[in-house]
Amino acid sequence: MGMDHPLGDQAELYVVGALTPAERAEFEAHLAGCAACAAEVRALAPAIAALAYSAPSAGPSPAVRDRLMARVGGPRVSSRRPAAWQGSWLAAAASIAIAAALAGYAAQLRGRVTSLEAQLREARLRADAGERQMADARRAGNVAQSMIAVLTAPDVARVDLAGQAAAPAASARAYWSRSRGLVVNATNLPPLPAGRTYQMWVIAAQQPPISAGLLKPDPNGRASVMFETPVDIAQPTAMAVTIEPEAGVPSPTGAMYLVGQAH
Amino acid sequence: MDAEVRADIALIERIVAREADAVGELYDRHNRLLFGLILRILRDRSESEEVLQEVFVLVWTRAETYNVALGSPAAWLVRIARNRAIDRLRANAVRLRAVESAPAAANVDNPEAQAAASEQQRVVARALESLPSDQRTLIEEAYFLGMTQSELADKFKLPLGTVKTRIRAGMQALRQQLSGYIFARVGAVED
Repeated sequence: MGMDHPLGDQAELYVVGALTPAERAEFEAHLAGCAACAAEVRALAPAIAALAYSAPSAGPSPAVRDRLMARVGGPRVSSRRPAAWQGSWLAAAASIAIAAALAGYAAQLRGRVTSLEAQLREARLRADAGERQMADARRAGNVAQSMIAVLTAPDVARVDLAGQAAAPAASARAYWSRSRGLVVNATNLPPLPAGRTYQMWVIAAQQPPISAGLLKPDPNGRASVMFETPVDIAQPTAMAVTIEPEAGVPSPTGAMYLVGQAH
Repeated sequence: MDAEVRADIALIERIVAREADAVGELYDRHNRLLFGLILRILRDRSESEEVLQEVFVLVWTRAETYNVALGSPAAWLVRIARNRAIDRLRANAVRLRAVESAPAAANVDNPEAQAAASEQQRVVARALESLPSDQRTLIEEAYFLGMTQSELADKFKLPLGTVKTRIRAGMQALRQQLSGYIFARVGAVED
């Protein structure tokens, strides 16, 4: 095949095993991308079948199968009578010698692998989604439990917050327990403009407001949030909700939407 | 596509899908051919049984490397078995022990099994015998003793180019004689 195809005359030497390991590796790398050489290797199959079948046939001891199945973890009992082999000698010989028809089947097989891979990906995505739903449910369950803990705390204090000029219809009710946290249920909060968030503040006497966290209403203007609050916080005298840049701020800068006094 | 090849490919697919049973089924279909070949190379029953087991463990762990574009699963198994046996032969450095003669009678099949295979084996033997002996010797020493083309050139004091030419001519002659015979006897192989 000449200079443009320097490995093109290696097929016979390859199938008969006359190449050194390095030459063999080089030719196998070439085979992966050369359909002509792959076809030549397939076409030589009858010659190799002849060599393989020129060895006298012989049966290994049954212990070999047992050891093999112990290694791969399957059942040990032979599913076929050994005699079956004799009848199918010619068929087995042909199955080695077969050259035609395989290339077409290769494409079919590749298609099948691609479709199985797609199914696997889809199954993985479904499993991921399932896991995410489980995690969400678990989180929601934990929040609900924490909320109940706050509501039933012996030291729970209720604060009613009223809508201010920016949102006269809004209102909220907050429950605060020093040991268990803060639960806020708000209704009728106006939809947030892009890049903005509501932020909840706890105000103790003679101290700057402390951020409890961010509050994102659902499309109906409702928000139900549980905040962890520091246990060393002073007894709140008031609570408020302001509108702030999306990431939240250390101290309030925006308009007050809700305000309530502690009793 | 030949039904036997289809069945083998289906087994390979099941092995890729980690079904251990399929390894057993593939073993049941091919162990005698492969064991005969390995025994012809190694001349030692217990060593040959070890290599046979290695071949199928390799099939279990590497089934996804089977490439249908390069031939049938049986051809792949034969390639693995021959290469593993030759690796073992080289590792043992017992190549000199392996001579041209057939293995001891105790190692091979009972007379009935021999008779069943005899017709086909005669065809194969005839094809090999029809080769010029200089081609046949080079092919058999490469295949059964694992000698590389340069080792053959040294051993037979031939130019490397002559070794290549003779092996190529012999393999092409075998291919031509046997493809017609085997394919005609088992019917069409087109898909």
